[in-house]
Amino acid sequence: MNALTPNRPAAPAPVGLLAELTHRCPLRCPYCSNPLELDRRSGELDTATWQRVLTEASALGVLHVHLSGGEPTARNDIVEITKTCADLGLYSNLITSGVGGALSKLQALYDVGLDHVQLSVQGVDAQNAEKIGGLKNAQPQKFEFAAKVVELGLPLTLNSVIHRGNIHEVAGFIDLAVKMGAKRLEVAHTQYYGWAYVNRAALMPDKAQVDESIRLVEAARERLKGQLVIDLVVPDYYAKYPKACAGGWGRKLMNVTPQGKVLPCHAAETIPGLEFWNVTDHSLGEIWRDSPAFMAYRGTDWMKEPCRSCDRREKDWGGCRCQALALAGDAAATDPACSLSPLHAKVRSLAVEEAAENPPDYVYRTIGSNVRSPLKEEVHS
Amino acid sequence: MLKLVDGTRSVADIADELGKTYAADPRAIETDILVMLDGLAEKRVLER
Repeated sequence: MNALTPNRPAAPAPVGLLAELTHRCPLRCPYCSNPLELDRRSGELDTATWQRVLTEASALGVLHVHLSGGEPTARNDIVEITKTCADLGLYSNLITSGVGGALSKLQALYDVGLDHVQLSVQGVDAQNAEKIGGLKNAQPQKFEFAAKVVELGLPLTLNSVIHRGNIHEVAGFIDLAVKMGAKRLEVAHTQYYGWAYVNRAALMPDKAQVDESIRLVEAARERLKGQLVIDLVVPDYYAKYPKACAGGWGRKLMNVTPQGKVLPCHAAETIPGLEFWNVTDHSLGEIWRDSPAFMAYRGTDWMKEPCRSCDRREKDWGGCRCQALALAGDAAATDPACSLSPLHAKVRSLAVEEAAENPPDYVYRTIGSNVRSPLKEEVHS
Repeated sequence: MLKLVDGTRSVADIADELGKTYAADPRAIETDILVMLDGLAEKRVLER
């Protein structure tokens, strides 16, 4: 057995695997968490490799697999992959837009043992929802899909990503979830990475709107106790303390991209200089334990002040490394979403200013685009 | 305990079974069982 050194914290067992099966998606949401440079179909892992990855994940201790994308049902082998999860005893969660081929595959997915469905809804009003998702006629397809999920007896979570284009619909999302028969609703304020970072000025709500959305959720939680569970993700830029991103770097989750790169979180590739290993070269266990990217910010040894001596260092793990890089210019800095960061006031005023201006048009998510950030000013410059 | 939740057994039945297995007074552990089941039902892990 290898001796442990202070620079080499022991790897805890991962609980969750986010399998980004493909970046292909019929929707074009301007806050998509996928990277700006999307993987093409020709580079995607094949069925057998995904099945091996899932087998290795199960052996490592993973309990929960999120079958995600892009749109995971865009893959022809989604049923086979889901069956592998069921055969291995992995709890499978299909994270889907509910459009395109999703409905036609749902019965087969149910038959092979799919455990849970998480359906995205971009808005309550169809016209607004379809503007945000960038796809006409998506809303009726989503409603039909949700009805079938509930009819099959599968637990349904609705996921709504909240921003200034739909924050007036929070009460409507709650009513919609009840009407559809969902067990759980995610009211997830946009996290500003990837496409959402590019579109931040178009998406950032103001503080009063955010406070009202939180109040509505808290009231609904009380009213709908035992009927609807509501998970609330608050917006970073207005927060007091940062989120423990992905439950702490390399502690609970790993993310496998369509081409097989394994990341500690879906935005980790934005950090330059990190070396990511691929499942085609290494086993998942080797990658989890030994790959340079997972070791880089695991534990607390990498921390600087004010994180290093902070009482919360093992609660929020310094916040998000990708956000620290994007906003502070240093991935090892305290996440500026934290009120203890010297940059916090600047970040907050940036949000306030952007929310006060007229929103620019969305830059829609597209494969093969050459997107540049329209943001006027970076915090650290 | 969750293995005993099968849609047929009552809470009292579950308390009786667990009382036998762990040599405890079923009525004493019934409250703990109810608290746990309530919590899971609120999270919609279990259906009432």
